Order: sequence, then structure tokens, then C-alpha cells
Amino acid sequence: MTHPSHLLAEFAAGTLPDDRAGRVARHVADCPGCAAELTGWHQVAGAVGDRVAAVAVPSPGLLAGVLSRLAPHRAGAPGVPRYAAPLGGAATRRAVRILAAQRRLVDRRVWLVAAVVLAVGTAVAGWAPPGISEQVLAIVVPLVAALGVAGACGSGTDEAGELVAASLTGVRAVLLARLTLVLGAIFGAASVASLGLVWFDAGTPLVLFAAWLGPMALLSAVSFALSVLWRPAVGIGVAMVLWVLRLLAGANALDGTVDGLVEPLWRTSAPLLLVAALLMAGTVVLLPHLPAGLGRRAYGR
Amino acid sequence: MDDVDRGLLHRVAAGDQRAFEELYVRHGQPLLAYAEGLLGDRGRAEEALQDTFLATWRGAGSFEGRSTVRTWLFGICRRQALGRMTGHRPAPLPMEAAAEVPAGEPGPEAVALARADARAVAAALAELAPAHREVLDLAFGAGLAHAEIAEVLGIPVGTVKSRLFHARAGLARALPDNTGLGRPLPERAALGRTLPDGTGCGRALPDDVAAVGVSGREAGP
Repeated sequence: MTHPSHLLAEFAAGTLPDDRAGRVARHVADCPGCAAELTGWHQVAGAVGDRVAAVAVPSPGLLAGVLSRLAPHRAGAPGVPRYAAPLGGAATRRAVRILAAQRRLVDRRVWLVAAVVLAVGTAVAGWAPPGISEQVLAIVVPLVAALGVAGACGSGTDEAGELVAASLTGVRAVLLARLTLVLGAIFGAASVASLGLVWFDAGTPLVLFAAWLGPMALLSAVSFALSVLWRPAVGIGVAMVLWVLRLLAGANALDGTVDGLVEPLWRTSAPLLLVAALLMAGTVVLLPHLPAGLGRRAYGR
Repeated sequence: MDDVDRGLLHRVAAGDQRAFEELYVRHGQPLLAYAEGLLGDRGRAEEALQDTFLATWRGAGSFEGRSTVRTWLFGICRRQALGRMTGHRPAPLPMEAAAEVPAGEPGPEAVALARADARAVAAALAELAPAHREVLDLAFGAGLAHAEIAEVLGIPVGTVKSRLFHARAGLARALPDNTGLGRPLPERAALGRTLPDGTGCGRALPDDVAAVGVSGREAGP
């Protein structure tokens, strides 16, 4: 056996597992060098042990003091601490602070991918002849929104998950903040892009906005619900299926029945926006009541 | 041992005060000794111990079993004690050079310590840098395994081992009549190298000693 010098300290402390301790003991018996090393460690262990042993056992009064300060326990439910107030007075200020905190926590890649795809899409739309521009936006914006929402809100996607779970802010507030943040940013960017296109005479504002607003709301709502309640891959997957069906329908690659099913989803209408809003609201309301396992990693239940 | 602790902590999480008291009986004394070593003051150490157990009561449900219960308790106690240090927080150790792990040959510190009497070693202990005293306390006072110490201190296991060697060297230097221990000892490394292998105590290094870090010279003070 080679000299177990690195194990002697633990051996002297008695914390080595039995099998390794046995081997060390056999080695030390035959090796004067290691035996002297071990004696040195024993001296250290003895001195430290004496010092620690000299510390008196804590007095009974100490335990009584602790017991008197114990808060009553709600059995089995440590749970996420609820947001109490110290973030700052007014509700609006609190909301701004929560939003700002989430902005830092959302994965930077979400912003990067969204910005690049939107920029490229807008450039293509600007370059396309009027009449095609809005179709380009109708393809690009909903996709960006669906992916962004899944990336930012999906369960377990987020390295800061544990932090979120431990924060004072409630689950719903965190989720709503993220949704607002991502959708707000993408909506803002898409609006700027559309107005830019209007400026370049690539279409009229009403047509341009109507082209992407409805499908963006629906696709991101579907992606949001499935990402939060199930997992981001499912949310992204279903949104992508709808998106690809729409692409194929646009290229006349599908028969009329599928066209008829997909086409209404790409229209900005009151029922469509209502369905999207209900889907999102339902998800936020449901989340804290779900059994453990669903969406629990990111939202800590 | 840890199974019992886990059972107790589980009951504490459910609000069982009996289990809480038992946990206190099992770990109160070593934790108090550790806190006292860190703070150097009985009163503040007792406060840190109380806060440690209050935090345990509140946080029992969030124990995830990634470490032993004992490691978890020492980690809490350390945070409580560090939070109580007024002003003079211990300066972080200067960059920890890999400690020389002597192989086969007893190092001069080991020889000096082996010769010293217990009272001299106890006196030298008081002279030690706080971080060195802490690692000795955890290893030999609380009896934590090196992997557990690594978790409590948030450092790699290799660093625990080399910090222990540094601590022991510091202890030997603080002994009365320690001439020669404070300086680098190149002659010792040379001695190691010239020893023939196969004599039973030649210079043979196991691989994982190399992982701890082997340097040719004694690390300076």
C-alpha cells in the first residue's frame, strides 16, 4: 500500500469508513513514518477534543428560551412564504419592482432570440411588396411570442427557480410578472416594427396590426398554458404544430378542411382574443391548486 | 446516526416539539462548542445556538436531504455565528497553497507535535488563525467527515485536507521551541527525493494525494 498520508487526519478523527480505516491501521502498524505522522494528528485531535469537551453542555434554560420562542407550526406546510409588504408601499411601485426583478431572472437567451427573429422578420417584411408584409408579420410575431413565453414562464426552465421559490412573492405574482414582461416586450417590439413598416409605406396600420395580434395572443396563450402546467417542450411543440399547419395552409399544401380549421386562428377577432385571455387567466388561477409534480420545479410547491 | 436525525427532523417539520428537543440534546453541545470557537464568547455563542435551533424549527420542512442533518445544522450554525461577528470578521485566508502532503516521512511539524506535551499544544491552539481553528474544530471537535466539512465551509474536499495540513503546521509553529518550522524547508524535499523507494517508507505517492496537491516546498506562513 502507498502511504495513506492524506487519510491520517480523518483516521485520527475516527471519521474514516471502517474498511479504509482497517487498511490504514494495518499500514501504520508497519510504517514508522506514517505512525509518527499519525501521532502528530493524534496530538492535534487530543488538544482540540479537550477544548471542545471543556465547553459546558448548554444550560436547560437555553432550550427553554428557544421553546418559548417557537412559532406554532402549520403541520406539513412550510410552503412558499407569502408576499407581505416590505418591497415598498403603493401597489404600482410593488408591481414595477417585481417586474424589474423578473427581468433580471428571465433567461437572457429568450430576449436575444426574440430580438433577432423579430428584427430579421421585420426586415423581410419591409423588403416584401405591400400585401405580403403583413403575412410575414403574421408568421413571425406569433412564433416569437409563443417561444418567448414558453422560455420565460415554463416550469423548470429557469436556473433561478429555487430563488423564485424562496422569494416572498407569491407564485401567481411571479408567473403574471413574467408573462406580462415577455408579452409586453414582444408586443411593444412588434408594434414598433409595424409602425416602422407603415412609415415605409409597406401597409396600413390597421391591416398590419390585425395580421399578427390575434394569432400572437392565441399561440402564446396555448404555449403558456402547456408550458406552465406541463412542460415547455409540450407548449413549444403544440404551438409549433399550429404554426407549421398555418405555413402549409398558406402554401396550399393542405386540403380544405385543415385550412378551414387553421385559418380562423390567424384572424384578429374578439372571440379569439377572449379565448386567449381566458386560457392565460385560467392557468394563473389554477397553478397554486395543482397537485405537486405539475409545474413544481419552477414555482416551488 | 443520520437516519435517526432524519426521522427527528421529519417530525420537527410536522411540528413535533418532542423531536425538536431530542435534536437539541443530540447536537446542542457540539454546535455550541463550534459557535464558541468561532465567536470566542460564551454569551454570543449561546445566542447563535438559540437562533440555529429557531431556524431549524422554521426550516425543517425545507431540508432536502442533500446533506446529512448534522452537516445542515453546522451550516446553519456557521451562518448564525458569522452574522454575529462584530466588526472583526476573520480575514479570509491568504490564497491557500496546496499543502505538502508528506509521504512516508513524518513532517517536522508532526515530529514537533508528537514530542510536545498536551498543555503546550492547547496553548498553541489559541494562537491559531480563526479559519484554521475552525477546520480543526469541525474535524476533531465535532467529528465531521472531510466531505461534510467541505459542505459546511463551501470548499472542495481537497481544500479541507490541505487546510488541515496548514492548520497543523501553524499549530506546530506556535509551539514553544519550534526553531526551523517557520521557514521553507527545501532540504526536507531533497531528503524525500533521495530516499530510495522500496524501503517500506520511501517516497511513494498515491494518486489521490497528488489530487490534494503536492508541492516540493513547505508552504510559507
